[in-house]
Amino acid sequence: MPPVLMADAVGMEYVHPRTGRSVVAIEDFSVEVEPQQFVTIVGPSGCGKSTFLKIANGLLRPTAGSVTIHGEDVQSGRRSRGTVFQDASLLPWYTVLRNAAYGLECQGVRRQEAEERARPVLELVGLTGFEDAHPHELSGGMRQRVNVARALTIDPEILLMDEPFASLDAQTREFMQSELLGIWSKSSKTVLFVTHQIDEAVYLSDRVLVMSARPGRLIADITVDIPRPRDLRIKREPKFVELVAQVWDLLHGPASGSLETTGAGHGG
Amino acid sequence: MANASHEKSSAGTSVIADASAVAPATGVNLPGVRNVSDSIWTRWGFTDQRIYVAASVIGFLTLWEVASRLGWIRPLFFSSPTAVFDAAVREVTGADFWYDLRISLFEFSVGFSLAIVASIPLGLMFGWFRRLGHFFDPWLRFFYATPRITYIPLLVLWFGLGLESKMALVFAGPFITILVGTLEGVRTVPTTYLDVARSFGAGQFHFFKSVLLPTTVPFILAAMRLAVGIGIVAIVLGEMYASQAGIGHMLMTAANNLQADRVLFAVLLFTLLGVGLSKILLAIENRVAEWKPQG
Repeated sequence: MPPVLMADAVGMEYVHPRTGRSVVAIEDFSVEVEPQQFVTIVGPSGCGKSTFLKIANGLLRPTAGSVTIHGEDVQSGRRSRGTVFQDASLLPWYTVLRNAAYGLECQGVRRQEAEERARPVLELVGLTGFEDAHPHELSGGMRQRVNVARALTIDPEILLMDEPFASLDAQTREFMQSELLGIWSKSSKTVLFVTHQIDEAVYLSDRVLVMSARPGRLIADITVDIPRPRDLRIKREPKFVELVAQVWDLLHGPASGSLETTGAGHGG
Repeated sequence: MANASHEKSSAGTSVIADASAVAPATGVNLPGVRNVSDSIWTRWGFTDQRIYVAASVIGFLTLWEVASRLGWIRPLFFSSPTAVFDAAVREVTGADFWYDLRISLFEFSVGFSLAIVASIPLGLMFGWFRRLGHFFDPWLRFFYATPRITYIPLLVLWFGLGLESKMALVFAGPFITILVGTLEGVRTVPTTYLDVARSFGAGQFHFFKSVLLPTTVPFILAAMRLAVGIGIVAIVLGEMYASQAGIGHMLMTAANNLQADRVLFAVLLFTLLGVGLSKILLAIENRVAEWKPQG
């Protein structure tokens, strides 16, 4: 089967409008995501992983290379991807149901039909009974379930997830990780997930792409051959710990000096 | 502006009432704490706040009346509650009053409506198209800062003593106030929502409907509430300064004739108009903000 998403030598360079100095956020980033794979990009803050996700989403135009989904350039319009944003991206004035239906409504589906199609997805993410609640009435974990539902409702070719659990406390976060795997296995979607937490990346993924600090480059593509379904307890198994250590070494190894100098900015 | 939009009506129980309501619930008879829930006041449906409000109003009016009758203050200058009431009855049964009221309300509603209709689209545009906003920014600042009263002579010069000059004056203040409020509202739209909408492929119109409007409307309503006060001041000043009719004109005439009771009746009318309109707008604001966290 052909890959769902293909990034071909993507580069992103920012030129400061006055000083003319340029900052390279991403350099020569190529990757292929196979159907129904769960692929995670992990890297330090400011390595450009979120920037890459924005490019894959068509929100940013890369300064080099291109990203295609099923052979179609993401810049050319058709909305084949569903994005799960970080916390606080739900519309606070809409109910849970309306938020879950929002993606479809954006695509021009009538409200009633959009909401009917969102109902089973809310059930899938475990939010039955909360349809009429507003986001502020939910816990952080539940809000992110709505976020996942909103992306799934449009039935995308690929789910793009931008550190969706970053604002959750450690316990909720772990719980949501295992929940996400359950939802993923039932929906059989292709996922591209971005995080800076190594154990999250290893636990969730089929493949972990390790990115270096600025300029963001792909430094390793690690296959996680831990069988599924994965219980949270696998995080204590030697195989898991070994993989986490491997990624950690890649990020903090000989090149660690540059980690300290990465400032805030785009991506992260 | 931002504070005003989040303002909630704070009627309801006061701190004192809350604290005393807690005491019986603990089941412990604390020495010195009166069991308020059993008192005659609460059984009659009075809460502390209402008692104080009523006592304040009735007390003041009584004192005023007594002071006036006993000659502590000169009725000619200070009038009295009953005299104001008599004046009110005389006015509403006469013909001139209704003519004046009609004129004032007409000037106000035309000026204010035009201000709303003109300011909201411009505010949305200036907020959304940044460059356009920057271009007009100096003028907005200038007119926002100018004391509106200084326009009066010019407006009279341009529009004459008739209704038009007052309409223009009622237009000016609210127009700039609502425009700036709308613009600020648009500028607070979180970029995340923009990303979400774009990511899902929302068109301009859907984005406007689903994000821009819900973010901006509370700001618009808060600005309108502010503008009501400004518009009323404008109508009073305009009519007092140069007019042939209107409640402000009546007020000025009464004052020139040393009729304090009629002046106070006019003051009361303007106050009621302001309070009434504010209440309506506040009710709409609360209605619009129903999704917001309570408390």
